[in-house]
Amino acid sequence: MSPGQAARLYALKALWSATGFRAAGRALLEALGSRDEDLRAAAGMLLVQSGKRAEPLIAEAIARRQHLPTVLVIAGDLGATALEPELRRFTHDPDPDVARAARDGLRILAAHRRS
Amino acid sequence: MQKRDHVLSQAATLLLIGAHLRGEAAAAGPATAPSARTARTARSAAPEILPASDLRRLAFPRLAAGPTRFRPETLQRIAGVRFATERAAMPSRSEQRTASASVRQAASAFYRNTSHETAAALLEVSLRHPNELVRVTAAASYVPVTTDPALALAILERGARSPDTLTRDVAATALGRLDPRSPALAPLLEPRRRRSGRPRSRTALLVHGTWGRTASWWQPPNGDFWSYYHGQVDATLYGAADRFEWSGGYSDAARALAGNDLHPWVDGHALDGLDLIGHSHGGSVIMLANHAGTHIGRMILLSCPVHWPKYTPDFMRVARVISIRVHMDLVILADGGGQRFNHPQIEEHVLPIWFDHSATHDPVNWQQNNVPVML
Repeated sequence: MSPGQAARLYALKALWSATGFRAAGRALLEALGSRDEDLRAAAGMLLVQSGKRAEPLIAEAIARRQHLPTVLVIAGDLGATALEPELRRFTHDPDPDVARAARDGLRILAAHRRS
Repeated sequence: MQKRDHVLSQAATLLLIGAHLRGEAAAAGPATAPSARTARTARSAAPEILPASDLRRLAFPRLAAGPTRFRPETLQRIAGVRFATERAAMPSRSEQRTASASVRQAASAFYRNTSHETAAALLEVSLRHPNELVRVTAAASYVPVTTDPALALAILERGARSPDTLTRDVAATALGRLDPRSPALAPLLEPRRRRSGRPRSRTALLVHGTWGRTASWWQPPNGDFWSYYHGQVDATLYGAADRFEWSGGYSDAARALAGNDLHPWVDGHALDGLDLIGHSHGGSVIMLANHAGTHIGRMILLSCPVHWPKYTPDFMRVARVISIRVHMDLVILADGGGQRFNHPQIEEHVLPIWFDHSATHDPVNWQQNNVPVML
């Protein structure tokens, strides 16, 4: 990840947080599919840091099976209890990585509830 | 096998003599006829110290408790033998031969004419029996009925070091009751070393970071960093299929779960004291496991964001903490964590690389910057 790419991510996050401009959030979401490990990591961190605002985007991504399995774990990180039924559904996914991430997401959700 | 059974039967008889002479046998049974309710309660709560069925099988005669202490010479006279005045824990061969014959006679006398005297005489001659378990059980029962317990205590002290487990246990138990300060007990009273107290394991384990679960670099056996580390740095790097992994989630909850999972993983694999190498928040997970009780040899933190004091090493449970990172790590910037530890017990190494969070798990960077020398 170059400093320019990082700057772009921060700018997207700032724009999304300040204005709620959904396309900015969606651009962050798209970065989860980058081949660059650092870009993916930073994008995911910025999405989670956005909290509740990120939930609809993550729900969309889960429904479209985009950026699986990462978005399933992000749902847990966000404490998105509304997405719990979706996560449960994915625990039976034929892709073992996806099913495992759904279980992880549920576990993290439960840990959020306990804390 | 029959010989062993015979020895065990003799040993049991000698211990029973001691229990009866001390009055424990009477205490084990009801002194008076209990009411039906008392009997029901006693049956359900009280342990049977000397089960009546066992006593019957051993054909053990009734023997009342008695406070009498006997001189060894008196007991030898009753048994019809005379041993040397010098009383050693290990009887001489001639004493053993004499004792073998005398024990049979003394046992016959005890069963024929059960009394304190015949019981104590049987114990006296059994102190020279060729079998150590028999000597030890005789000694355990003999101490309370003699005026000279030195020989019996010496037998018990020797027995406490016996290679035979049963002999050792009986001797140690008796010594614990009769002479709790005996130096022979000291080695047995040393606290058993916990797993965590063992010498450091020579195994190492890689722990991936945030979103890293499905990444290939850390996966055995073909992940590039795993292969490099295993081949060039440490051949003990863990590579079995059940290697530790965690969700890779980006939340305190996800990391807390992972830390709580890593600790029992290490414990379950008996690897306490291992080296743990964590990338990014994999380092935070390691620190959480460290606080949960995992002992670590070297904690190697690669591009680990600093969240002090939320994630810190437990310096009481880690031999060395080494942090390796790059300048102005952009992912750590996104994470909001600190770029450097500032603690005298954490060795910081900043590679001459800028921005690249994943550079610290790149084998090329390890080779170019001679990172293994830093460990």
